[in-house]
Amino acid sequence: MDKTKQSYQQDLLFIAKAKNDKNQFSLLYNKYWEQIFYFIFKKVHSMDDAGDICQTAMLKAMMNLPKYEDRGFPFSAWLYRIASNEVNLHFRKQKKNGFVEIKETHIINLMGEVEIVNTESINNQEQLLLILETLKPNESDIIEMRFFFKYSFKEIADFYKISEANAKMRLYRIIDKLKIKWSTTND
Amino acid sequence: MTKYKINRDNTPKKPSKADMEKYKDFSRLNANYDKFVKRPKLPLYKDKRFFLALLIIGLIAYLISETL
Repeated sequence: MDKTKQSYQQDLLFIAKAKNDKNQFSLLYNKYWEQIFYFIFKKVHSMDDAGDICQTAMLKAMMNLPKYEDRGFPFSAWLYRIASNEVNLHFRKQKKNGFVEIKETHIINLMGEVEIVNTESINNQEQLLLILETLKPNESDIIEMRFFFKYSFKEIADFYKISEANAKMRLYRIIDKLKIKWSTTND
Repeated sequence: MTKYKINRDNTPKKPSKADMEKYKDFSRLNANYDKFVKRPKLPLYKDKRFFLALLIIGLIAYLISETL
């Protein structure tokens, strides 16, 4: 059995235990704390905020666990969605927008996909980021996941509860959209 | 404010495992869970203040209906 399947089976066991005894939720809490914390930290850029939001997300997961149903997607995908909603709520409460910090190499990779020739040009990089901001939030989220947070197609598919093929199709449609926007702004 | 910022140093700002562990506290989570989920010890209708407030609201409603 591969690691993913093993982890999935382990989660099912932990979930069943936690549904019977809330103290057993610690098994899931300990397993996913770091992953979820880092996911939140990448968006809020503050250890204290990430700690608070992670704790709230875990609390919501614990409270909603009795309603959780296994639909063949990893438990972590469910946690990521709760955490993502909590991050959005955090920014709404603070009345400010978060920002995504990205590595130069990541934007260069994206530029390659969009078929931009001069990837080293800072102007081109900044221009692509401005175009990225014109996308719908659900579109820019997929780009962020794939190119900036380095998620696999499997992870993106699990997050959106779609098939891997569908995740790939969505991403490449958005890249096509970026290509069109890039060529119209540079004509 | 722009949504994206390029980190040109390429130095990842990943918090250490120990730093992340500092914020981990299952007993606090458990306590918060109990606070949210467990029912209050005293049922609402047996709460003297709640009962008094209910009585006042009823009285006001009765007085309004009488004056109309």
